[in-house]
Amino acid sequence: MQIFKTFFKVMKQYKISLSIYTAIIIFMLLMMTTGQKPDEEVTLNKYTILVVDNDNSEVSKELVKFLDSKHNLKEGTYSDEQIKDMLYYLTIREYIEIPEGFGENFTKLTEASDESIADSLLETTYDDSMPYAIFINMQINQYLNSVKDYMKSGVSLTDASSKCIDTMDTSKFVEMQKQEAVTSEKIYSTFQYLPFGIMTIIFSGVLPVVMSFNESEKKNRTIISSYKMTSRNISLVLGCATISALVTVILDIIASYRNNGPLLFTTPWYLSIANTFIYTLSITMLLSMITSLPLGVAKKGSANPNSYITCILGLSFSFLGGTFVDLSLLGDKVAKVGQFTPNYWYSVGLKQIWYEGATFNDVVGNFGMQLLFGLVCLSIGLVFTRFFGDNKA
Amino acid sequence: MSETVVKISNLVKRYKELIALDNFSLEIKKGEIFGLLGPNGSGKTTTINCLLSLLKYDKGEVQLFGEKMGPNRRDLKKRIGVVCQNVAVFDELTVYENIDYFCGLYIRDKKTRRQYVEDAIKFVDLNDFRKFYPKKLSGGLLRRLNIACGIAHKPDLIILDEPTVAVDPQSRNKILEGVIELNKNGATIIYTSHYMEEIEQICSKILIMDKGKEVASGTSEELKGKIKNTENVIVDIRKLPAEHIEAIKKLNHVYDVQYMSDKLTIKCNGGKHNITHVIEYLSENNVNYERIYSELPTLNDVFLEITGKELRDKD
Amino acid sequence: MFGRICIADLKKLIRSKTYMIWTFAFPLVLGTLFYFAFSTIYSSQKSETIPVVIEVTDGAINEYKTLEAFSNLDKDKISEDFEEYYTEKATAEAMGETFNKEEPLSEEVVDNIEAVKNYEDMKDFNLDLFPYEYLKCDRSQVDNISAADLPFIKVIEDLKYDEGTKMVKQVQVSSHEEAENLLSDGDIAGIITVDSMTDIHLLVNGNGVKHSILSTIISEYKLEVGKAIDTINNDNSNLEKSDEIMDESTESIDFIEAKKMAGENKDPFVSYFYNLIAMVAIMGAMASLSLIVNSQANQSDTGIRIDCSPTVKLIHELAQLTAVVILQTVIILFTLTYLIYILKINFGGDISYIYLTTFLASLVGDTLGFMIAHFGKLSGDKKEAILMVIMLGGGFLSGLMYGDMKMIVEQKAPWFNRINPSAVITDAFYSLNVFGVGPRYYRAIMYILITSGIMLLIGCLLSRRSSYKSL
Repeated sequence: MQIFKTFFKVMKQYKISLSIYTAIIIFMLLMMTTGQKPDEEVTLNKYTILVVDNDNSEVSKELVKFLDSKHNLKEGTYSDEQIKDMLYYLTIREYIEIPEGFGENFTKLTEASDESIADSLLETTYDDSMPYAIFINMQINQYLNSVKDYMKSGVSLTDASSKCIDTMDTSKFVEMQKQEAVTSEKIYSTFQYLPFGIMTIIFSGVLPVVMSFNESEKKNRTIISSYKMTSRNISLVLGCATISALVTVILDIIASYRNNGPLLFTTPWYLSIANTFIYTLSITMLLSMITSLPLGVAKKGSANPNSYITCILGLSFSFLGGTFVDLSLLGDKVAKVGQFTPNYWYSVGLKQIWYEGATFNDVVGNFGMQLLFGLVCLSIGLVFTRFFGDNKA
Repeated sequence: MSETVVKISNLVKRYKELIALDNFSLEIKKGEIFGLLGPNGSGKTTTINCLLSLLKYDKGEVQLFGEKMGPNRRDLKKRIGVVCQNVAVFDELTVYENIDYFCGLYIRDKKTRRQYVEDAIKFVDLNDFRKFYPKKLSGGLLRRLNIACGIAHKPDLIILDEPTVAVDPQSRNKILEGVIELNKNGATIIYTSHYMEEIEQICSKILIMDKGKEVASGTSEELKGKIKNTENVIVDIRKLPAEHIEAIKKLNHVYDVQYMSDKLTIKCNGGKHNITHVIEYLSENNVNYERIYSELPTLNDVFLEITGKELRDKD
Repeated sequence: MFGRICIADLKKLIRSKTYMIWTFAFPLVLGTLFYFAFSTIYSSQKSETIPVVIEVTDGAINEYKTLEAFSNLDKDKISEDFEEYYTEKATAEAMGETFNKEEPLSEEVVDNIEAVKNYEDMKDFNLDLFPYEYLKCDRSQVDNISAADLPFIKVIEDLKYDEGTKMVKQVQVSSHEEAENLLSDGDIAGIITVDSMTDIHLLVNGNGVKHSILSTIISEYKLEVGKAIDTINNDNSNLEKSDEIMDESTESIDFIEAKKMAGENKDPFVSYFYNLIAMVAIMGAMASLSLIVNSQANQSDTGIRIDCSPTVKLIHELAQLTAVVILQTVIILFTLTYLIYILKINFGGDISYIYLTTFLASLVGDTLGFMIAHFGKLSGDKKEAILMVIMLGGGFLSGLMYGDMKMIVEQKAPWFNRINPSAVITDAFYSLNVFGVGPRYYRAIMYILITSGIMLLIGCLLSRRSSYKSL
């Protein structure tokens, strides 16, 4: 117990650093939940688009009404520069400008047979190579063509518009394969980012303490004493695990607290909590491997390897493992490499929990892979200790 | 009359409720090797730091070379060299580069600096190690490098703050010889330590301090002259009966007798043949003893008598 | 002296293995990782062919067969034959002869054909009763109609993106179960079931853009078919040209004039590389922080030596900062060269300006460390923690971990993006990519210079001697 207690006493020296890192991670998690869109029931994609109606005719108003029923219309007046920014950063997917005279020209089209009037009736700005832009344009063309045809056959604008909206109501002919699990994008996203937080805090807070214990002179004092090295190592691991568990509890509370209601204390929630603890355990074992490496304790004034390790490993694992960017986007090559990180299995498990209604049996494999990673790290750490320890002797 | 190099007048330094320096004063003349002696926590390092304007003090004045010292007195700083208690060198620079770096903070002229660096390396006898990195040096060699970095620019005032801590006897002697040589070359030295033997060996003037105050000051002889004790007669005797202790107390010039761990210590004040008298008494009374010798009082005795405690903490 | 201190500190940095390895390794590792993670997303999403399974029921095929049959029914011939029949019969009766010739078509067949007044009637017609002998074309043309001949299938086959890539690709399966499995595994985007010309259902496994495109294709087709059926029903005579009407119905007008979005490289994932450069730049703060802290009397013993010397402290520190700037510039430009020439990342914009922006970005990091190093009596560890907070937190708020974050901050607290070192740097790159060299870019550069200047100034102002010991 001596070393276990001392672990926390040494930890006190780093309490401010640890608190700072914890605070920044909590801040990031809270910002994440603020940035999330409110939960919607969507069966198919709704994008945010910006429509500027310079015409204000009956036709243009009906068009805007149609677009509003299909997508989220962004409000406000923006400069060209702001619009470019929004398009680039995908705040809006398309910018549609209805020019003055649109309604008049459209009406002429319904009366005349000259279809050249239709050219360039609407101006849209978008990334022409991205499918969502094609999708939105298809919808607009579909709508306008159908309204034109209905009006040509004598139907009024309002009726034609209603008919089109009704026909284009996808819920009448589109079905989802599975019953969607009761889920929340918000809680899923927050849990998704937890691995980065857990890893950063543990590496920045616990790593220096363990490195301090592993400083050669201090370690030698223990070796020559009557205290068993095994007991020492177990105490250190227990110390790491205790702090790691505490960190995980705090982050789980933060992740959960903003998501009140029916999702808490449900099976997916319990499984997510279990997922975070399994992840924490595997990271703790990774930590033991790193501390076995001869990285050396940061000397006063020299560059601190802890910060670099935290940054590189934290970011690399998070990107490879689908913590920051969804796994489906990353591609097969990255997925193959990512499978060697616990983050990957955490992300896969989390997705199964929240989007596929997975039970414990479904995700136990993912838990197992994370633990396997940890055990491999632990083994490598022991080999390192043996190798470097023997050499030193 | 030699010029005053350092003058500290009524210096007061407080750390919250603790008074580290309590109206402390001292004066050091040019050419002196001034020893600042005191137990741990007496205020030696605080005095040095205030002197160097590394610490702000609450009251008093510090003068160096007749002028008031301050953080921006670069003209005065040019004439000071500091050898810290801890080894203060860069691990990433070689021995030569370290000395060159720190010398360069004082001497701008390249040619002069190069010469000074060579002189410093020669002085501390690190010529064979000039391309070594500090990590590769032993403790003693590191200490020598530490000294070289502090004195390379040939300052007029050199402050050595416990330079022989954790150093082997051979290196220690070399350091002490080096200090004497520096003094012979014209530098005034302030030497702080809690090793009284070193202070007695090299210092021309000594100030003993405790709890931020001066306890006593003067030359070694002057300090010893201030106390009652002029001679200690020590006898190794096993199982000495108490009546003999009382009897020995009554001998001429004896003012205190202690018997502890088979060692009889007889403190004498004055007298020339105290040891003879003791031998006579022991012979007359058939007291067997193993060894008898006489010691002159040390600075520890001075400190003990004045303050009632040891200069160094008992082991 | 300035030069000498600078060179000595350069040596210190270069000889520090920890610093050199991590500072070089970090951006190369992360950059390579980003490359493998993000380089193909944009191009793969561009004009991606959507795989689907299309199940055509017999009912749909029969419906189309019926449509084709009625379209090719030679009613004139039927009328002629009936006219001839009745004439012969009348003649035979008049002559009292036995008339054994059969009617061209049975009454039932005739009644059934005449009962077809509209599209729905035609759809319900029993093909077994159809008079194939009166087809204008060969019977095999109707009998051999398969799923591939259906107008919907032809529409699917013909759909292409602007550059000619097929929009939808049919995947062949042997059973519905196989299709369902492919769908749940995500190998196909949907199962389209064609029950009739108008009755088309879509089964999907998500709500991504592919699924939306499929539903849009189907709803457009249904709209067009609906209109065609209305046309057919409006006039009975249109029944005979119902196949033509169906074919015509698939043509439509394009109302939209497209304006291309700005940006030499429109791939939004390139912003991760901007953030990487920003991070490398900010990491330079670690070097300046450690050098300056190491020369502070309350932080290290060498600091005591330096503090006791007659050197002007500020000049000493500026010399150290210069050393960091030189080394960090080399590192960051090396990283940039690796990204541009080895990984072939297109940052968007003139290369010389990219290099200039990168160099200026490194100044931000160096001066940041310089400023934090002078934050009072805090120990080196705590100062480093503050730096990590700025690095990670700033990176996060500039979109390193959550892509939309920068825009969220821009909306809610735009002033923060002006002072967040990471955001200031990424904005400069973004401006160069999207707007080119112009007022926006110059403004971004100005922010970089102002940020660096302010941090340098704060550092200089805070650089003062103070009591350091405490018991």
